[in-house]
This record gives sequence, structure tokens and C-alpha cells, in this order.
Amino acid sequence: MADLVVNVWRGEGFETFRVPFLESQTVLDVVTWIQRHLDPTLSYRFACRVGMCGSCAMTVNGVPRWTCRTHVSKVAKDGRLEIRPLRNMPVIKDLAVDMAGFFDKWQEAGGRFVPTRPGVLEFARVDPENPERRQASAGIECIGCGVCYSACDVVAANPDYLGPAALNRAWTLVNDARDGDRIGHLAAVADDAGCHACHSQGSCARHCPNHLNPTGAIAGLKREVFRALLKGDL
Amino acid sequence: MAGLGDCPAQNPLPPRERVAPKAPGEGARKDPGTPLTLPRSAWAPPSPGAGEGKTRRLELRLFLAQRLSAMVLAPLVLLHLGVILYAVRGGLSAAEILGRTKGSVLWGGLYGLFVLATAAHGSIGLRAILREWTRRPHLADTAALLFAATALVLGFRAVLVLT
Ligand code: SF4
Ligand code: SF4
Ligand code: FES
Repeated sequence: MADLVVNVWRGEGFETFRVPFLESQTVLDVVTWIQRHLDPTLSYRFACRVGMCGSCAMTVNGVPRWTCRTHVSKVAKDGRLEIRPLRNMPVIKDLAVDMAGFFDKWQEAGGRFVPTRPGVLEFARVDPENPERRQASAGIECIGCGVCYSACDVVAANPDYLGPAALNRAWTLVNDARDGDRIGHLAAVADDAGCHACHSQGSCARHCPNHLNPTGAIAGLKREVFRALLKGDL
Repeated sequence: MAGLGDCPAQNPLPPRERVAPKAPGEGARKDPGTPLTLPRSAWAPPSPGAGEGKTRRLELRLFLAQRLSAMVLAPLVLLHLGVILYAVRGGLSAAEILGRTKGSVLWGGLYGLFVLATAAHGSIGLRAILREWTRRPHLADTAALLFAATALVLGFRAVLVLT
């Protein structure tokens, strides 16, 4: 088969590379091949290569994806690939973006587990099948890749918006029976930059490589904020 | 030399007592106790959209009002559509309609509530959209108040005529 024509974002525009097409090749393989064989100055980020670490996300032919688990054969159009850095995050160089702001928002969203006092010493009995735990268990599969954040138009329009991943994290804690500050978690996301800003159109859920549903998580947060307000807890 | 009998692998602990799983929901502790760590405000930067004290409370109230008015509107919109269909299909004249609604506390009350809920829901929603699009909160506030006032005046004028 003919070589792939790969357009890679180099900061001031695209640079075109020709890369041999191989069976079962991933987009990350292509980027690595370019760096090893054609241009060692190409910057990008990866670690695990198996879809666990969340560091390899890029925009491939216009769509944010985890590149290590994306087969070229699935996404190449007429043997062409266009690879850009993720959207909504400052580019450091080439394909590497600065994810600090993205993760800072996890803190702003109250995304930390809050333990209870040692006064509560018995084990929390958590039934894996109870509805809250199911919600939490679904949400904790997030690998922090930033694909959803890059796919979200509200983040693009409002840089303050906490975004799907951070809110998804908050939702796992709201549903965690062992967490000591449920209302605190709700208070942290109950505003214009938090869950209220989401348009619920599901771009995040559509692109999440782990098939998480941040849209659903955010809808859950809105619902629980509403309940807490009715009860006078917020 | 220690006999094989002393080897822990040969002398496993007595089987652990198995804790029977509880019914769903029962496991969740009702009172998780007081948080151990510092309050959130001590370590996390304030959420940028949060605002302080009063503004924050106002935003939360508006969110509450938005959801509550939606819950009021949902059945009322259906009722209103039903009324329109009924009146049109039944070929009721304006005079006949007025004959039924005039002096009716029920119709007056329902449509009065409809107007209130519409004014609240519409203006809060409009405010949210304007805030997002223009990033000018004062403009959004003014427009929302104007919208609410117009909706209330026009709405109650109609209700007064009907009843
Ligand atoms: S559903 Fe909400 S969080 Fe997800 S992409 Fe849309 S606006 Fe962003
Ligand atoms: S929710 Fe999905 S897309 Fe978003 S950071 Fe987590 S794994 Fe990535
Ligand atoms: S390199 Fe770890 S998820 Fe792709």
C-alpha cells in the first residue's frame, strides 16, 4: 500500500511527512515513526501505549482521540492524516499541550476525596450494586486524557468552565459513601463555571475513549444541587 | 530446625469470617462524620464563576427558581395546548370562550400561574444565555428584568381580559 501522507502541526503551520503504512498501526506509532526516522525534534507525549495513562491524546483528522489506541486504518481518509495538538489547552510545542490548567480545574471542582474523622472506624460497607456506587464506579474509570475537555465547546467559549472531566470527578465523590463532604463537593460545582454551564449536548461523552458519560455526570450534579437547594443544604 | 509445621504456609490462619453483604443501600453510612481535612476553602482556589456571598446566593436562587418554574410550566404548557386544540376543534367562538372563562377563579388562577412561571423561566434563561454570549452580566441583568416586566404586564393584561 502507498505511504501515508501525514500533516503534523508544528506550531507555525503543518509539516507534511510520508510514513509507510503498516498493518495494525496506531496513530501514535505514526508519530513515533516520524520522530525516530524523519525529524527527532518533533515533540509529543505518551507513556503507556495501552490506553491507561491518558497522555497521548491529540486531534486526529479533526477529532480528539487517544492516539495509542486509535488504528490508522480506522481514521485515515484516503491515506491522509492530519495531526494537531488537543484543543482548549495551551500548546507547549508541536503536539504537546500544557495540561496544568486542565488538572487545576479538578482541584477547583473539589475533586479530592475528603476522609472522615477517625471517629468513624468501622468499614464502609459499599455494595457494588447500589445505584450511587455504580455511578461512582463508572466515573472513576477516567484516565485524565483531556479528550472530553478538548471536545467541549463550552470550554472553548468560556475558559473558566471547569469542564467535563473535572465535573465527572466531582460526581464520583458525590456518590462515594465514604466521602465526608458531599455538600462541599456540590457547593464547589454549583455555579456558572461549574455544572450549570453545561449545555448537555454530549460531545464529551461521544468522544471519551473510555466510554464514560460526563454529560450524565453533570446532569446528576445539577439534579443533586437542586435537591440540596430545596433542602436548604446549600 | 523449625519443623514444617511452623511454616505459616502450612498453618494458614483460620478461615476469615465472611461478612454477608447487606441489602443495597444499607451499606451506605447515613452519617459519614465530620470531614477530617481542612475545609475546601482552605486549599482550593475559589471556583471562578462562584462569586462571593450575595452574588453566589442570588445565582443559586435563580437556578432553583429556573428549575421550579420549569416543573410548573411543564403541565401548564400541556394544558394550554389542550385548551387551544379543544377550542379550535370544537369551533368555539371568542364569545363562547369568554363566557366560560369570565369570572372563573380556576382559569384565572391557572393562567395567572402560567404567566408568573413564564416570566420567571424565560427571563432567567435569557439572562443565562446573554451572560454566556456577551460576557456582560449587567447587560444580561437589565435585559432579563425588562423581559420579565414585559411578560408580566402582557400576561396579566391577557388574564384580566379573559377572566
Ligand atoms: S455535555 Fe457539557 S461538558 Fe460535555 S461537551 Fe457538552 S457542554 Fe461540554
Ligand atoms: S472523561 Fe473520558 S475523555 Fe474525559 S479525561 Fe476522562 S477518560 Fe478522557
Ligand atoms: S500512551 Fe497512555 S493512554 Fe495512550
